[in-house]
Amino acid sequence: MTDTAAVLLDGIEKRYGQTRAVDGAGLALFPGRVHAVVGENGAGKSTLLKIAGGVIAPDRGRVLVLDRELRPATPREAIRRGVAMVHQHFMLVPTLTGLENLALGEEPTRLGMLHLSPLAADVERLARSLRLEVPLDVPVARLSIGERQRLELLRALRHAPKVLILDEPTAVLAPAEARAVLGLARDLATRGVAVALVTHHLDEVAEFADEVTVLRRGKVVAHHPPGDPAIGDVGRLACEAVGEEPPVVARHARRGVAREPHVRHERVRLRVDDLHVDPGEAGAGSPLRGVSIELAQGEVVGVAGVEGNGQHALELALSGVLPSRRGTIALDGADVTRVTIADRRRRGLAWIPSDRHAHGIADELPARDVLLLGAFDEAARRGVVDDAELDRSFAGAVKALDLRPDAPELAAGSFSGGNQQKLVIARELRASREGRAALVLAAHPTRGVDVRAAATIRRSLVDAARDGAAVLVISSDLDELRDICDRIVVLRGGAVVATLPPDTPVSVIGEAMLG
Amino acid sequence: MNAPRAARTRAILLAALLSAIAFELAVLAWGESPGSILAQLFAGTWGTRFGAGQVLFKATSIALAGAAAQIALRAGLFQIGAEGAIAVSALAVGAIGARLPASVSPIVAWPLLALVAASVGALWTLPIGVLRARFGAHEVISGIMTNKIAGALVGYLLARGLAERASVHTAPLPPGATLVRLGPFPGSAANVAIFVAIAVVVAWAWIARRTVFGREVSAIGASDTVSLATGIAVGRRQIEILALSGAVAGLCALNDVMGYKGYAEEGLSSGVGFTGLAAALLAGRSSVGLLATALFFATLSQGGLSINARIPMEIVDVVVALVILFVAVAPRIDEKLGEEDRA
Amino acid sequence: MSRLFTLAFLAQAVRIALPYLAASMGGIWSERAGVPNVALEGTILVAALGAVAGTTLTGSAWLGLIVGLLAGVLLQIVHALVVLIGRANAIVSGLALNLLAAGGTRFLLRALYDSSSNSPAIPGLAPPASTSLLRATVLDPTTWMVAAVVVGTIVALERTRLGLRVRAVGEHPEAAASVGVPVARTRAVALAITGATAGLAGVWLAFDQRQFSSGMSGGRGFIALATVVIAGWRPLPAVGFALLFGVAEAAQIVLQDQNVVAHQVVQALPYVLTLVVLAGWVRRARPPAALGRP
Repeated sequence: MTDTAAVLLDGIEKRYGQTRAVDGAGLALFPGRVHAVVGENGAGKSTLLKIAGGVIAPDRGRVLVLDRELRPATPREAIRRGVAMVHQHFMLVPTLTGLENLALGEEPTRLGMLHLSPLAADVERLARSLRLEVPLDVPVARLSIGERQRLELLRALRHAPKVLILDEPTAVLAPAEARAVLGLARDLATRGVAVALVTHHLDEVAEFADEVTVLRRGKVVAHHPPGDPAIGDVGRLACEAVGEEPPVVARHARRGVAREPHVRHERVRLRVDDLHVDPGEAGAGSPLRGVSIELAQGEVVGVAGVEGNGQHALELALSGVLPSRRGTIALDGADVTRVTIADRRRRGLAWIPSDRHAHGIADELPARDVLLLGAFDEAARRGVVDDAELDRSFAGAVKALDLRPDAPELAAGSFSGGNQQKLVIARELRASREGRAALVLAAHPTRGVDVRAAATIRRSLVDAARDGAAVLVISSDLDELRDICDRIVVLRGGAVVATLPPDTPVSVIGEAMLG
Repeated sequence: MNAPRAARTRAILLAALLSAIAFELAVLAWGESPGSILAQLFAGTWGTRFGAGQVLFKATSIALAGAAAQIALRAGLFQIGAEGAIAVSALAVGAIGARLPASVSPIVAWPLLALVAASVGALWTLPIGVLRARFGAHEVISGIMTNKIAGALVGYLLARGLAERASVHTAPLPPGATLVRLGPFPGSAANVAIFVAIAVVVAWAWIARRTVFGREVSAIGASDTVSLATGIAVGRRQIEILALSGAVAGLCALNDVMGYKGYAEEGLSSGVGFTGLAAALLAGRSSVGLLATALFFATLSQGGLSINARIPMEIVDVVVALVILFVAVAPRIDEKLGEEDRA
Repeated sequence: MSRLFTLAFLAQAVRIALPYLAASMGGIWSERAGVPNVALEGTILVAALGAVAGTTLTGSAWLGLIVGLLAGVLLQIVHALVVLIGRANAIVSGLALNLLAAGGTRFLLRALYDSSSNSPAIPGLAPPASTSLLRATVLDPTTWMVAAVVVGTIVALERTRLGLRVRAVGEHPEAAASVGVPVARTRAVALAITGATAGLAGVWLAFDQRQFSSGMSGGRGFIALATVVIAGWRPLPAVGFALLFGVAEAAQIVLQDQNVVAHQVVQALPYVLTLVVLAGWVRRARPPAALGRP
């Protein structure tokens, strides 16, 4: 080990429009260490490391690679200087073969033609030595998620990099695959590589990292050098990552939500039977392999699992975005497996989506329109929309959810992320307030929302159940699930591996998630 | 909503300035004086009653085609197929109109032929919507293809019997099926179809802003995935909007066939679909803006004829093309200039 | 019907297909790189005028050929600037460029030759028209240039660095950028190639007709675009469909005095076929994923 950082980021700032993704953060990656970078969604982890990898140019601040400034700040230069990066979203061209993807950017040629056979031999040798075997001559679109990840790693490791940046490498992998990747990272560090590991899984940090940096809202809020006991303290890291919400306060804030035990009604509102879903190229993560769940009227059921174990596919299949390969979905006894989103909504589906941009909010529409999207006829007479009625709905949301600003005609895109989420919540829970919802499908309903609003949203979900809906909550916040659910099902590898009562300790749920 | 509108106004002004410079350079290169060319262009259009009438006549078709484009753009779709709808509708109106009894009354003939024009236009662009909504085929490609098919079809039908013997056009419409010319503009082709155009443009602005249909279409234009996720029937709306757009484009037959020629022929009002699209791109969502750009393009087109002896009238096409290009890139230039201001 | 199966007929079919072949290869380069290109028609037109102007100004058809190709490249470079740097919608840009080409070439026709319909005659590169059609086609150097463009496109797209990069930026530009492929520059190069190859179609037309006449592209750019779509954005099938359209048109010409098929039916064939393909085969013939995406 030396005293020279392989990569040094100093005083980095990066702005997107009004938001500061990175706000004066710094990071030093040293050879021989696995340096974990943790923080909530939107804390600036990926942006900061993309700056290290030359993918994004910072607005301000220095990027030094082995004491020399990274200039020009391009991926090509970073690769040349020995910085390799594996991205959170796979950076592979699906129509090209594995080999073509590996060649891309520095294609070997002979007499002006691509000459890939020596490359293939090299890569196969490397793959064998790292146990990362993957077929190289078929289009990437035909490879499994795990194979694609291996391909990404092979590409990153091909030139024996001095620095390896892994941006959430395990998010979409099965547990065994994830451990293999992290073990590889560990091995590389012992061989002198500086490894940066962005992750949400604090247990991974405890097991595999030497050093930890915690980011919040674009700033470094904590740094734990090697040997610091905090590295193994999952609870403490979690508190640092979320900020002013130490667990005691959080429990307190949520206590108002805690509910009396559910009285079981006879009426089954959602029945999912042996559901198989292929995520395909829809970016829905890993597949579902035979999920069966049943939700009765008034029931709140949580879905827990390490990100990328089929939750997203479940959400998209239940909402009707993704077709199901096998199995059935029934709402109030009616088979809706092959039915459009619009028809499912007519049968009482309400959906709070995890991907707000794709399924929740259209930036350029006025907020009051977003609030009644898909239900304009409810505020219309003979096909003519009554804007005063839209404004009244908006005023209602302002009051119920503390929506800000109180500007019904302002474009939804101009609202903050938290307030956009409130717009979606207000829209989706309208029907349940009137007792018309059969199923409320809520995916990460409180992500990116402040504590008070989160409590309000949780309370609304419980209210929806009280009003007769079945509520399915997909969340990575286990405390949230334990607070509001009647039971928690755990998804792993696209299947339900456990069904647990809400008072199950977090550690037990965690064990079920990790397998 | 104010910031984007201000940016859009800036962008349009910038585009106007750049286009004016390009025009001046072209005129100077030709060895003429821009000032006197402009004066002549103005004299040949708004300078006489005839010229003004011709401008209004041309603006009528451009406004209708522009409304067709604007309608589709509201849903985020490019209606390239207007050109074909115009051609096929014109032939249908000409062929059916000519078969009406010689004594037909306008009270019967006008609404009947307007219905023919709109429904043929709608039917013609219907497949574009179906291909888009059900098969995911891009509406621009299908639009280009249907335009070309329309051209061939019109030629074929005229050659195989719809044209009058020994001519290349349909038999003339009976007097009761032709539209009344506008009195204040003697000798020009300006006719009452202009009121139809104005009514359509204004009506669409109302429909788009006030009705459930219009609001859903605007939502689809803002994000089709979000609209789908919230239960809007995106595919059906896309089909409806492209058919409605085709119906409006088809109404051009009122102006060209019933208001001007009195018969249909090949190539009648060709190119107007594209000019209309250009006008809609310039006008954005504004109805006043659309009528204004229609008048602007019509003035250029008519003015081109009046300056043709001194400078080729094709300079007008070049200017229109440059206006479209500059308007398309102006937001980006505006953004860049803004960044430099802040820095 | 025996007139359909002669070498002369075959030569005629190939000659008709030549501009479709060249221009559709141009469309493939652009669209595989992710840039929609409805400006093939305008590119053919400016290149045709360029070839004629270059020939009359220099007295050399070879220099005319070069000027024609450069004119095509220039138009597509404007497309690149407007779309890649100006971030404008590629459809809007393409339509405007077609209008610019149609108006601009007429304007220049008046400026250069004081005519609103056609230029004076030029020699071209093909042997004089007195020789047989077959001979004229085989001895015409532009025929072989088109052949070279076709073979070059098929090989280059699969087997060269540029081809690999073009395919990558058209499918997943972020992935290409993450490994250091300059996306905008790669697309600009592809568009320049589009300009030259679609331009070759225009040069061929001008040399074939030995003059420039206004609007002489006559929809060939749109047939080429149709060919690209029907072929699923792949060069080899595009060759097949371009030749098919050539055969259909040649057959119509041979049979027109017998009035078997109306020329409008043959004229509409490529377009109808495109719609059929879009309706039925489109799920297999998938356009480049990033087509039209910045």
